Amino acid sequence: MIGSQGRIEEDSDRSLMARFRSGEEEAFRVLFDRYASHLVNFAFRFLNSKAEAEDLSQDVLLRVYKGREGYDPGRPFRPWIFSIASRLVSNRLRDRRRHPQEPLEGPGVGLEVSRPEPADLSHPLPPEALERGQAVRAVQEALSALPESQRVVVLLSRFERMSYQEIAQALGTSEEAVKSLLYRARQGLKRLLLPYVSGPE
Amino acid sequence: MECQEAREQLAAFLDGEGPEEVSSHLQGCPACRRERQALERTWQFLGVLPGVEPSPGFRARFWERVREEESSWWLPLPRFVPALAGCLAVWVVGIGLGAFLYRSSSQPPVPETAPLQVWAAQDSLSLGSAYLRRMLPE
Repeated sequence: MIGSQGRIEEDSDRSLMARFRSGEEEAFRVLFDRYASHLVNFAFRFLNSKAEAEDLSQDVLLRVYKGREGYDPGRPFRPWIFSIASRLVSNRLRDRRRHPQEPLEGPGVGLEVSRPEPADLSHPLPPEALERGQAVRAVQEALSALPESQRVVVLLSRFERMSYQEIAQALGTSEEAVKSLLYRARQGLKRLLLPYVSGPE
Repeated sequence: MECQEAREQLAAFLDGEGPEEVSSHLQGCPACRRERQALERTWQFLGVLPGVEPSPGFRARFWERVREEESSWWLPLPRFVPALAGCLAVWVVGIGLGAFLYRSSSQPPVPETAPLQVWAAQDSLSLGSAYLRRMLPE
């Protein structure tokens, strides 16, 4: 169970949390390194600001750090940390709606991406003319067009490769609800992005 | 399985979470195979999104925040410490004074009577507890 004989870096998330709860700070640092990038990407794909994404990711990791006693070692770790992340992202988006600030510079802030004309989803370019930057923007706009509940399941499924069960645990909902959300999300993405996808029949 | 149900289950099937009957339906249905391809391609296309790496100071900033949060718990305390010390001092002096007054008024004088200047130098808390013991009924 706990890899006391092996390297700590190879321990499962749950055993790392168990070690952390019993006082091993190093176990938390391994978890930190494992999840920092995932959290930043997850938040970034919602908030479109790298600074905010990093800030929010640190909020998540702080809650893990301070909330070690509240973690139930019987529960899988990844859905737990993403339940925190999803909740904080949702709160941040709600705050934005209540207190609209200067509009962000647009999707892709913080990315090294060339900036030609914004993608126009109503008159998409033929796939072979699609530059990388335009492809990125098309995907970002398609994701932004999804309702928040669909966007989160897309990110957890497509980028975190979480199962329906894990996503349901992370979001505090049922697998049926996850399945339904993903069905609608993928239909929406298909409608918006199919014109951009190259390849013969 | 009819097309409508197959299409409803298609996304889940592609995620490895759908019924196996979808597979056999696809084998016999070109229209649903096209739908499958469309779903797969657009799902794959999401991969053009670049990953971002946490900036170099990310870890250091995190531990700085941990230190800030842990030290801020102490911030309210300095305000209370002088007040608390003051209360303790009054309590100690009060018990010591009471012990002194009790001794000077009691008869016969208790053997371990100490003059005022001596008790002030002693641990007034122990005098206070001696006073409390004498208060207790025999």
